[in-house]
Amino acid sequence: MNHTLRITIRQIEGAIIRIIGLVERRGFSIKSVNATPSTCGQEMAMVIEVESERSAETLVRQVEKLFDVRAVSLQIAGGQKGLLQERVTC
Amino acid sequence: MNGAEFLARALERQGVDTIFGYPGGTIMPFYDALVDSSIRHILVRHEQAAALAADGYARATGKVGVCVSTSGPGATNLVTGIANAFLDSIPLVAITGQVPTPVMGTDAFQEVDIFGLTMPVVKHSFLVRRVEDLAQVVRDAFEVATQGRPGPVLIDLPKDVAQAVLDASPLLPGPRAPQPQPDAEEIEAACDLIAAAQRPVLYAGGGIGMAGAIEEFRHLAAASGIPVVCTLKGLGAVPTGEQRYLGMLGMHGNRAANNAVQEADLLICIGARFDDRATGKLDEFAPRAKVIHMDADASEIGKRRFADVALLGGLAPTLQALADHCQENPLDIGAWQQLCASEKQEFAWRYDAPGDGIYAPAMLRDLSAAAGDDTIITCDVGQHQMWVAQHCSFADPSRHLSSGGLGTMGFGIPSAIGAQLGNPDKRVITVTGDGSIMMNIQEFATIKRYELPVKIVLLDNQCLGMVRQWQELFFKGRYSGIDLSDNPDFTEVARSFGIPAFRVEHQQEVAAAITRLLDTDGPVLAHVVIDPQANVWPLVPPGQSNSTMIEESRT
Repeated sequence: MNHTLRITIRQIEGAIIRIIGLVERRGFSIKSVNATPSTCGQEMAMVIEVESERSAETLVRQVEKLFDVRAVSLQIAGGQKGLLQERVTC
Repeated sequence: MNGAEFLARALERQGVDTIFGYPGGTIMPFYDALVDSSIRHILVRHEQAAALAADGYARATGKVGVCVSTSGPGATNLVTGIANAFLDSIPLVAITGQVPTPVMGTDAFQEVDIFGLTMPVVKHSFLVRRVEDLAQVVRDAFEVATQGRPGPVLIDLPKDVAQAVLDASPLLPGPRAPQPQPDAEEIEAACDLIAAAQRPVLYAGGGIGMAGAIEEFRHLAAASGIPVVCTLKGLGAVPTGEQRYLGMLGMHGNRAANNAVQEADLLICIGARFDDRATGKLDEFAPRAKVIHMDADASEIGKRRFADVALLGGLAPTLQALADHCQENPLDIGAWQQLCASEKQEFAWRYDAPGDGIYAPAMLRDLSAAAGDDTIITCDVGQHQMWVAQHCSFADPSRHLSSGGLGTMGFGIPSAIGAQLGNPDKRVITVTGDGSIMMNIQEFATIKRYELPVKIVLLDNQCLGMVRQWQELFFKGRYSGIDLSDNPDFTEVARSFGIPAFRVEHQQEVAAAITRLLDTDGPVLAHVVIDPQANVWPLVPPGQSNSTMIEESRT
């Protein structure tokens, strides 16, 4: 099953790799990643397309727990392809 | 003031009075600051023991454990202890020195990316590149380590940042974030499930003790009369002698406990996570039960087992609300209680082992009875760990220190050091094996240096017993890599560290040995020779249902 996670994170050393590491370690294969800095330089918007038989709701809750994560939303991507880009405004 | 001096003050401000560590090049500014600090530094002899001792300190005191090491090998040696704290949700702050920022990324001497290395085994980590960030980092580190579901936090401190001048005051600990209150509708839904249940079971995990909700849990158990099973980390949630307590569930659990769970129509899981060692084959675990899952960590809900009702947040108010409900609406589960009670009696542990050899379960039962259930018992990992869980009594989960999630051989001695330093007036016993003890035997020096009155019980079967058992049962008796018959004479080893020691070989000597162990002032080691063929029973074979427990064949 494909899912798309939209995650707002603090723009700080280690934040991106921590999220990507968590997603893969929890059994989700990453199909695409995009990270875009916010206009104020404090946050980043990440869009990660993942595939797994595991529960994406559980993954969302695991991502939400991370200290650097501000917000997470999930959509079931179905057949959607390609990078999604999103910019955060502050 | 420099960054290192600031860090020492900030730790004091967080209430830290004891830290465990080992110095080295990049952490030297901090060790210099310790000279003028009120913090007591405990010098271990290997950094892994610093992390495990801090872990034991945290488990036995409820406070944050703090460990410190230098960069490179010092930092990598901490990793096992950090992972141990992560898997068991223990509040730990690990501080590592790092090479100066200008040379980071150049493969400098003793440089290792500990920030990257530990990422999967920390709750969070900080790499402090600017000394101005230290105040916030320390405060955040202690908050993250303790709030919600606890866990380890790493602070990596480059040497130039530790030496940089800083004009700031440490921040006081922030106010504790209020725990989310349980949702009233969900509480009502849980009460409805409890009222409708014919065969409910309380499945108690380590989260209860860590949430400070022991009293409320016991209220619920008493008010409802629902039979209780515990996970390894939940042992002590009710006193071991409690009438409705059935024992530990899972792979080496008690058959009465596993049967109750398998027969249950309602499983009330409190601060536990449906770990594979507890559930056995997940599809066949409590197959007829609805589930109420209570936890501080939302990501545990539905991770391994669907929850019909999820109660998030602080356990204490939720448990109290359920207890109040059960008090006002007594359950009608007399038949179920009787069935569980008769199974408890039928499957009570037997101690009538044949032969003249020392039967470890009986010895541990007698030791625990003589020491009292307020004694802190730490253990290593393997057969003796399961025997401790099965046969010792605990007044509270903080009296049983066991490496549950990671299963770290070498945990026993360092965790006993941490527990004893945090509880100087309590009796601390560590039960270890001839495999595990060699993983951190150098800490005998720490026990001696600080004259810690830890009582060490070494169960010696001259092999890696748990691996041997599995090779016997599941690998056709093809023994491989398990022989430890050429171990040194442990009594001589202990004595050479200045720790008195004696050997126990026959059943008739056990009672006197227990008395001698408990009556000795200061540290002492009892080297107990047990049967190399002894196995831990009963056992759920890996990957099988908890209803297929195998027992020792008594011929």
